[in-house]
Amino acid sequence: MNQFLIIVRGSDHSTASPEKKQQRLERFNEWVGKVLNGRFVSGAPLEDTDARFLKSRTEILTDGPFIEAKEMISGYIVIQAKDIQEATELTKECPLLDDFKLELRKMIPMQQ
Amino acid sequence: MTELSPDAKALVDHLFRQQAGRMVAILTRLFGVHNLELAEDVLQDTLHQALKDWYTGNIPDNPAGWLMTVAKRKAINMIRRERLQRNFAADMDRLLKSEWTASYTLDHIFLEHEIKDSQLRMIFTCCHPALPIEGQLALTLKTLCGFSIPEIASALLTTESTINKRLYRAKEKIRNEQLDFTVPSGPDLFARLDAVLLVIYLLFNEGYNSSCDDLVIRKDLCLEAMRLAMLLTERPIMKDYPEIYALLALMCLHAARFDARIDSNGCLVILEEQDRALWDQDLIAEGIQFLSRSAFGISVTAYHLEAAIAAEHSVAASFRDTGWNKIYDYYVALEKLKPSPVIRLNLAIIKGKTDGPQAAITALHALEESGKVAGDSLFYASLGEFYAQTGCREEAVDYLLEAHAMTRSAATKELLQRKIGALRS
Repeated sequence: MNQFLIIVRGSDHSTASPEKKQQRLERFNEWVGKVLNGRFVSGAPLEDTDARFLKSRTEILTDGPFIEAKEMISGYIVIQAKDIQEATELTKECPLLDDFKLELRKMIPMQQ
Repeated sequence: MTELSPDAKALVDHLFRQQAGRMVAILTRLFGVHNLELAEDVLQDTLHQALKDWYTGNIPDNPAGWLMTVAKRKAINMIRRERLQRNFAADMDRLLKSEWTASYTLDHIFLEHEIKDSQLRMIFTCCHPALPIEGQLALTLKTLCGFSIPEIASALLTTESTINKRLYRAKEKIRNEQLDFTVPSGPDLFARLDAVLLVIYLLFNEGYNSSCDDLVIRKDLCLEAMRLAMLLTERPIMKDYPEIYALLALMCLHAARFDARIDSNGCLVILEEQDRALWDQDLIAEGIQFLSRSAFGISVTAYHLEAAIAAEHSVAASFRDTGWNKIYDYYVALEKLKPSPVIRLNLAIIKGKTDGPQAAITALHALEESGKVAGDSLFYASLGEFYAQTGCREEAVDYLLEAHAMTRSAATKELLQRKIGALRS
């Protein structure tokens, strides 16, 4: 089994209604339960605020990620899948795709 | 701090006892049984907050729901605080640790059917045969019945420090041997169910017969034992297990006489002198119904026989009209199933009802010669009683005094005192 990282691109934290967020979370959890079905590993939604963009050790841009909302990363999810094909199939059914773009990346397993 | 009014205090006590088992069960379902102590911490914290919020008199409309909601909120705080250090229940650990899924998972576990399921899991874990029986009893009282340590000590006639030690060792064993938190299935189920029924039976007996003088605790013990047995019957598969119904019958039929056994001064009233109008006819009817439901399958168990004996007493119009012959036969069968001095003692006593006191005295002395009754106050009390019936006052007083010296129960002592007084006058 390999692990895959899903990066959630785009953010509507400031614009989406609480009801919408709630509904999305419900559907997300149904996806976790029914589609991933034990293949959910970890993850978290991310705040838009309290972000720092570090260009170097000395140059810290403190006012957030400085990118457009649609490119902002608003969450990440780690899942388990056999290969990238299976991971893609699982991710296609993720309800977050209705509002965001998802970037799927295979994680390099630690060498034994 | 203002004291709660006595009414409010009784309500809170009752509610806590009732809800504690439910809360600990569901919290353990989340945290995993290896984190039983964490579940107990959250429970304590919740009850503490209830006392703090309620003592002003602001008891919520739905106190049970309030408790669950607060427990849930505290559970999620605990999970957030501990998620880097601990693993929770294996099947939910990842879901509880991610903010995507934690609240949703929690909401879906705090549902009525999940709570009931968790309580069943808890019953099977507390009554796990890997734990010593006294550990099983203490743990069941603590986690499922919401008894406090002093209450358990009092119910099981021992000290608080002993109970603390038993609980500590039991929990340690659960952790070290990684006992699971599941309802067993397949052939395992029935073997494990026997252990569960034994604990329920012992709890009930402890409440019904023990020498603990706190009547409230004793009654609660009986009610909790009945509640746990009822919980078992909610699983369809348990319906194939007649013993559960036999045990329920036995408990209902005994519990029906609970109030008639104790007079207004807290003294024990023997069966012969009980006011049968005080017997709870609803419980008797329920007991008889359970007994007939238990009559399937091939095995007649001790629970069946004991329930049948209790039923025979319950339906008799008077002590004199009791079906002693039938009861004698049931005891003979019981003696074959689980030979014990108590049953032989009962057989001798019934001989007195059917064949007269002299026959009982002979049977009792035969029992004494077999050397199996030493230290049993009931034995000497019975012997005294039958001597009194044959007019041998001196022997009667001697044996009653012996019984008096042996019992630890204040109620029994009082009863014997009265008899001795009557014989001497």
